[in-house]
Amino acid sequence: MPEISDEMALSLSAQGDKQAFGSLYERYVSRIYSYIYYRTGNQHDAEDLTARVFYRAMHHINNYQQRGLPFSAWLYRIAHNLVANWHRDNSRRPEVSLDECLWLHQPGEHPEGMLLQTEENENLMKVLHKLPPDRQQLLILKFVEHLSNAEIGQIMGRTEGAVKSLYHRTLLALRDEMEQPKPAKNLSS
Amino acid sequence: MLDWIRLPWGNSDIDELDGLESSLEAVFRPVEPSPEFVHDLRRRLTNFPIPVIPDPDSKIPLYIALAIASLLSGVAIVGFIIWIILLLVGRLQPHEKRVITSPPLAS
Repeated sequence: MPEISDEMALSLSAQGDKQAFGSLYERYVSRIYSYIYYRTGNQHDAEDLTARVFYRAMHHINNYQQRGLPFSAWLYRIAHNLVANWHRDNSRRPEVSLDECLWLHQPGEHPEGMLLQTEENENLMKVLHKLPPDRQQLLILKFVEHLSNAEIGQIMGRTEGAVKSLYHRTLLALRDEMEQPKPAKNLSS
Repeated sequence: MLDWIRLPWGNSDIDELDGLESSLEAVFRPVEPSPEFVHDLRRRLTNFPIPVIPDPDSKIPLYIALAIASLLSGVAIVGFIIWIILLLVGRLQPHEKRVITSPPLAS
């Protein structure tokens, strides 16, 4: 299918053109998957929820109205809601499992350095998952998707100024949490 | 990145937050889904009939139940009012029929 704009693809999709929806899917599946992956922490749930996002988008494509909100923003909102439901349904889990492949290292790194970096990254991710959902969303959209505050505001339904303020408060909260003394690890003899 | 923020406690905290941002940059790297997953999902989305996904959060069944309950309640209330009216009318009718006729005057 030749490259068409999002607006054209949406219009065709609303008329039942599944191939047009397929082109939209291919444009955004990586971004949505990446977002969900960092919110859930594992590949299996990320794939499951990503599929549900696009099924839901396909079912409700006629409800999407182009009111200045990009299609990607609509997808992120669906993803955010589904992830929130997932967390609620999995609230009994004490921690979110973190796939080891999250820690991508450059070849040639010193093994000890890699171990320290991995541990730091793991601690940071654990702290991140303790944040409220909106703050997690903000950080993922900023650092994974490299979206601007204005674009993030469109997704989160906030003003650009509110996003800036939230971002600053989030960093402060993260810093304070990282500075908390960690409980000593139980070392078996 | 944080130069626009003027913090009253000096630049050390800005440096600290800058360091935190660097850590976040290192942690958050885009993660690509597996090609098999992407291809398989596209095939399911575009080739098969649109499946019905049960939405456990949907409130539509609740709204339908409320609408039916409201309708039945309305019908019951109207029926009750009509019954009361008929009852009152039934009690009045004997009074209307009991017309006291004066005895004929003796000539």
